[in-house]
Amino acid sequence: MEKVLEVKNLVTTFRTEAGVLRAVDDVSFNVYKGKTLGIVGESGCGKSVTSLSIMRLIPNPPGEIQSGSILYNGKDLLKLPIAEMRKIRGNEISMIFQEPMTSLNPVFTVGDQITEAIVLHQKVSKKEALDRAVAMLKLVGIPSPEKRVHDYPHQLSGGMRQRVMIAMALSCNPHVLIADEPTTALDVTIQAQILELMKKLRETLGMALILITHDLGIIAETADEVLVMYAGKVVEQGQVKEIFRNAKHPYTRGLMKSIPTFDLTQKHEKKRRLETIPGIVPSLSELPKGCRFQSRCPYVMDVCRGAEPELREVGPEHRIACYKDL
Amino acid sequence: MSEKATVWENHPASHAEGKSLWQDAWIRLKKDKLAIAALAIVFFYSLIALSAKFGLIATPWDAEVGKAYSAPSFENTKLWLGTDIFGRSVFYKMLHGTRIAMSVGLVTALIAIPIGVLLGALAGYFGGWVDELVVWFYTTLSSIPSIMLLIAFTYVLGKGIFSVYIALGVTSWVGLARLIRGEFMKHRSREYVIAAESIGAGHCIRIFRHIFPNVVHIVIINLSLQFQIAIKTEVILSYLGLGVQGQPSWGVMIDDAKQELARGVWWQLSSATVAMLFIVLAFNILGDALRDSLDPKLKKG
Amino acid sequence: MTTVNANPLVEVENLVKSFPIKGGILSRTVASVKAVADVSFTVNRGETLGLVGESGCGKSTLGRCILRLIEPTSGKVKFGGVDVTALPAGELRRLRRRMQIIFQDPYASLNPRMTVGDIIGEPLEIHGLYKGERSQRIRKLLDLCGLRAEAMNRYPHEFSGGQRQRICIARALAVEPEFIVCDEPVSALDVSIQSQILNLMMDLQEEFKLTYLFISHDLKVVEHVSNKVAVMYLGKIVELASSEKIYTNPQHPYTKALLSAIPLPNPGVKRDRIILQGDVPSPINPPQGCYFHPRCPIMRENCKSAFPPLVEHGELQHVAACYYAGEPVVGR
Repeated sequence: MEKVLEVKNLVTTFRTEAGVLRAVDDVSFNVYKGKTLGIVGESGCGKSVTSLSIMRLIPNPPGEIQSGSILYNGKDLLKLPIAEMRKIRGNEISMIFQEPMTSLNPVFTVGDQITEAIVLHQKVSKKEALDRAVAMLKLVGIPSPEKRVHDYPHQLSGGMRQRVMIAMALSCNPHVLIADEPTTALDVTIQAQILELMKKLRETLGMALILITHDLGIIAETADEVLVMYAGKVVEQGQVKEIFRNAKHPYTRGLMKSIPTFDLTQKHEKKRRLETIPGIVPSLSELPKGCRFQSRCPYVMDVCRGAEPELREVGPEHRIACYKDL
Repeated sequence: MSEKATVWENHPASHAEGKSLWQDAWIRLKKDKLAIAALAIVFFYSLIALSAKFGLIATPWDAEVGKAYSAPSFENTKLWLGTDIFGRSVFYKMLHGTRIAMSVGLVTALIAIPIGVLLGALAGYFGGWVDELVVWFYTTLSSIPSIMLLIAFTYVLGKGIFSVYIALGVTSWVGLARLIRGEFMKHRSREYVIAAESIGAGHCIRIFRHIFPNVVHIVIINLSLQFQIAIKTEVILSYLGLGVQGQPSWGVMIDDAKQELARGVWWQLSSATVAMLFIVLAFNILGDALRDSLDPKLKKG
Repeated sequence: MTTVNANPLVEVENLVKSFPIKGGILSRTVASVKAVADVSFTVNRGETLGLVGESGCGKSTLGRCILRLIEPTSGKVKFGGVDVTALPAGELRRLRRRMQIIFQDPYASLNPRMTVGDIIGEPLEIHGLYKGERSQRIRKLLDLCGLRAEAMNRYPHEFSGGQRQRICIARALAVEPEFIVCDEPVSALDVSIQSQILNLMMDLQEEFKLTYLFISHDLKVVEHVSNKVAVMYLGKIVELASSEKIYTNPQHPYTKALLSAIPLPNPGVKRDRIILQGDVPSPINPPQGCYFHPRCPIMRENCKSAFPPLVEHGELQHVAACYYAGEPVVGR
């Protein structure tokens, strides 16, 4: 497998009234060509900050990438001058955001916005760029793209806008696409369309995909490798089948058990109570000493209150940050 | 039960009493040094105004303390800023002018705020014909140039400080009413208001207990901006000879200075202008700072 | 089953809500959107009816019309035999004690300027309940909802989303209602908090014999909490049956597509996914005939002429509005 992106020991902090908080704390992972890395976690776990750090789009102040490296084709993105970074952003690494409503500029046509990225990064004429934009819209499944290219964002539905966002992100044939909750704002039937489209495009274009979501179902159906994050740290990491069949971290297990699920193929028996993870995610300013999950963990031991657990190998390509062997 | 216990554990239990958004806002305001300086200036001016009102300082202001137009000197506090044509102390006049200015600001605000809040609230909350009526009323009022309206008022009510109060009070509520109307429109369909309706709360409760406390910061911000507009307008009216009569307002002082400047008498004009400058500036800074600290939109969830 | 000697608490008959669309300089009504188009169903005492559908299908409007938080355009809502739609304002206010609502966004549905104690105490004050022992009552409610008594003196912004939703539930419970409309109550919450709130709601239902109308776009959640499920599309109910029947034997092609579109956390399990083409049409100009026909994989000519009636297909108590209900829909 060809490694496209290698994130090593990334630490991103935010300066707040409560002090300097480590929103992303020592996170490492690899992204491979043609594969999907799923990052899953609840709000505030640092999954979005991780993706913004890769793009170097952390607002500074209050945010700052403290340490670590992000190797893209051997270059450390964190050490690149900002002008170089701009050439990579939107060209070789692009990003799709959650809100298709606010991520498009309402006063420009869809065509304007797609061609802007193309003209900015590649030496093509305006005419060629427009042709390319039409082709991209066609690729993402927008009907009559020649007409749609002249539409304004408000003339499109939510699903169509997200398609435009994807077309924009793909317009320069990126090697890495980061999708931050790309379907959260969309309805289930539209979500199915968009996920199907992203899968297809990943296969045909051979890019690497980082998919950030809170929905374990989406992860199960789209990702190859999974990263589970909790309060800024990676708590479990592994291949998707391994994680879903054989989760080892108490948090991952709790998360999986707490979602109501049904199996259409079987007659289901009703279980009245869901299993829960008690309590709430601790605020980054009030992290306990030791493991961050200790206050909610059913297996908490004395050692958990001492040093913070490091990621350790528990199976082939399967690592957890926990002292317990489940 | 064990579940309940853990919910409790994660409660922010460091202090017994909760902090309201007002307390939060005050904490934020306290960190803004410029705002605190502005607040101190406002407080200082109010103190002077009150002392002058009760004759604790600068009395009598109309006594002859020296020769006409004597230049500022430090031999006597009364002469710090020189004297005017009748040999009265300019410093005392300036202090008394503060009283007039602050009272104009306060009284007009007391008249304008209830009108603006009530009409704005009714229009924004009920909409429909109530809204149309209120909007018609204030657009008609504001389509008349306000200086003309003020002049008309002073002619009808007679010259003097009382007319200034009334004239400024009944013309300056339009801006506030517009803002309040807009806020009420936004808030009336918010879920917390619908929740109040669903527990059986009537219109009065919804308007005054629920929505009003959530828009009252607008009134406070508006107050600090309106205060300085009132002070400036009083000065203009007095300069035009329509304002305060027989009392030492800053506007009257500037009006007097028309004839004096040619003779090189600069102190009357300067002291009135500088006195006005600081309070207007302070209110402006305070208005901005209040907006930053009170506006819940700027607070993250 | 329970339907034999059913005890209906809420009966909705031919409910319609249309919003006018104003246009032109004189702001005349140029068109109208039927957010709820002729909907009828009943909810029995102690039961949970799940209402699912995509955004804009009118499910929230329907919930609010039942409580008359939005005035319905026509149709009837009977609550315990009383016609809610015909009540004068004063009596409606008294009836509000018996029916409550919980909203989606626990940040927006609590007045940020009031303490939690005031928020929960307000309905008691309005209805003149528990005079002289209100603070004990508030403590009791907080305890029921898993919050500490100290919460009384705090303000909503000091709580997390899940805790705020507990406060909303406590407020709704304060007046001992019989019926609660739950409008997407867990959609804004994190997964691990969702299950806590769902458990709480089901415990309370059992303890106080509550009746729920549970509105959600999340079919997994609805399946978990509901006895009966209604599926809405563009303001109409297209399928209604017991939860088990809807999920194991869906009849309407839209329900089938919805169910197949849910991503399930079982990697490697191959599923027949029905991907619907296109978007939900605008409710201002719904398609002629069956509203679903432009996206329907099994559409035939006669679907374009008239909207199919909601009738039983195959099983008792299982209704669907489709001429070809039950026909296999080919996935990919």
